[in-house]
Amino acid sequence: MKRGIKHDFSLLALLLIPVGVSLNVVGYQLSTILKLPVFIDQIGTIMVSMIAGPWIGLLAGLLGNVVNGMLNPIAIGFSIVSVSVGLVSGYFSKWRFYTNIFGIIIACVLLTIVQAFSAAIVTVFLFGGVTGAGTDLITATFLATGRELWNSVVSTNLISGAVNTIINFGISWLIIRKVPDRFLIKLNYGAPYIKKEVNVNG
Amino acid sequence: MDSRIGNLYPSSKFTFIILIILLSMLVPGFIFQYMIFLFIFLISLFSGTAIKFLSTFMKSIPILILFIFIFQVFLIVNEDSQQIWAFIHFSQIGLMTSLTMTSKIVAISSSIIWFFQVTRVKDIIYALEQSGVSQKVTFVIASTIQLIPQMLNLSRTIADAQKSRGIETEGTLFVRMKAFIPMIGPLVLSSIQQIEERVLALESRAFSSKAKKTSIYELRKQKIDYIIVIFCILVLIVYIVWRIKL
Repeated sequence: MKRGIKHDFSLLALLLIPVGVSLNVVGYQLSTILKLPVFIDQIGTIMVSMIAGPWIGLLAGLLGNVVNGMLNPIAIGFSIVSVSVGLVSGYFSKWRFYTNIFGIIIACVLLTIVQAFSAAIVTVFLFGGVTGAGTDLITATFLATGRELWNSVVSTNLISGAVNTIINFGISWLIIRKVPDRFLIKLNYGAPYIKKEVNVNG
Repeated sequence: MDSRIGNLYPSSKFTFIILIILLSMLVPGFIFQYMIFLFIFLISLFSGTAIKFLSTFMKSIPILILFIFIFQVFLIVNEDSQQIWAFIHFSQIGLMTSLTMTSKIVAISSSIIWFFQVTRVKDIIYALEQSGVSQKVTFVIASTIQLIPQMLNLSRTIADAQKSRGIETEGTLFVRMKAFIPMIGPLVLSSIQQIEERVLALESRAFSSKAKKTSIYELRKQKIDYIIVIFCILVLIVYIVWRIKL
């Protein structure tokens, strides 16, 4: 199966983008309904990037934040975070990190780092260290203990990012396990998640 | 949206907010940027979206601005910080930083809110198609905006169905976390089934064909659209020339 930026945009993969974006929104809504302390709003991006590759993941992340930005313009500033998460997690899927437990652990750690640093760059440069969410209290606590702004923002994002990545990834992995094989086989990056042994070239 | 401003061609409104964003980044200080907020509010009065504009704005921006002030003025230690109590400082530099920063955030975000409130998504997609963007891209944008409310409704139905079958949605954190999978699983699986059907439907209507397609919905550029675009470009050029000469 041919992969790469020219071959990834099949119609099936393109139609996955709206589903991924709406899953992000639904995940966010459900986590408020269930009163969870973390916001599970990246399931769609991670799931789509796992089965449809880095470029579709990147687009799903970008579009999700732009659509959110219609109501809350701050989200547009943070689109770089979901774009990098989609891209990086798509490459991990391409390199088959998600098929064994060690790969999954390494991927989660790296995803957390990517998420934390991209979020920290946006937070510090555009919003002076503030995100307008509950995690600001953690940043404030770090600042009060005398740490510098960069240090506090990155530490906050590493803590909240680790929890978020593990939950988002765990849920998308569980969902992909339940997606039927005949759908996965049509996607460029779906082959590693097929339950039966199938010979696929590439 | 049916006002005179709402019926303008999307690209002329887009040029206008690009001008505002550029100006609010180029102009030093913070008074001009705060004036832009009042100016956008006035425009949204004329376009009949003032109440919607204010409620959207109030939902997200003020809390962010408040936090920025608290962080920059009282918490971050600058060279001129004076201790007030324990870890709380007061800093003049921090006050200036937060004023310039928040003024830009206010100006840019209010113009973006205004743009999306006076422009129909249908118009944006039509204008994108006319300017040569691939139909695949515009289709993805359009179906995303359509699909989100549908999926939200479906997720509510699924949540009710699962509750009636005895899934616990209240209790300890672990119990609530466990409820997440049975609620979101059926949603994904049913939407994947829908995708397969939609691919067949689209392909049978020659979606991937390279031929030029016509649109049943039409939007024409009026004279005022050209005037607005030329005016915006002129303002930017005049401002840049004036700054260089100064």
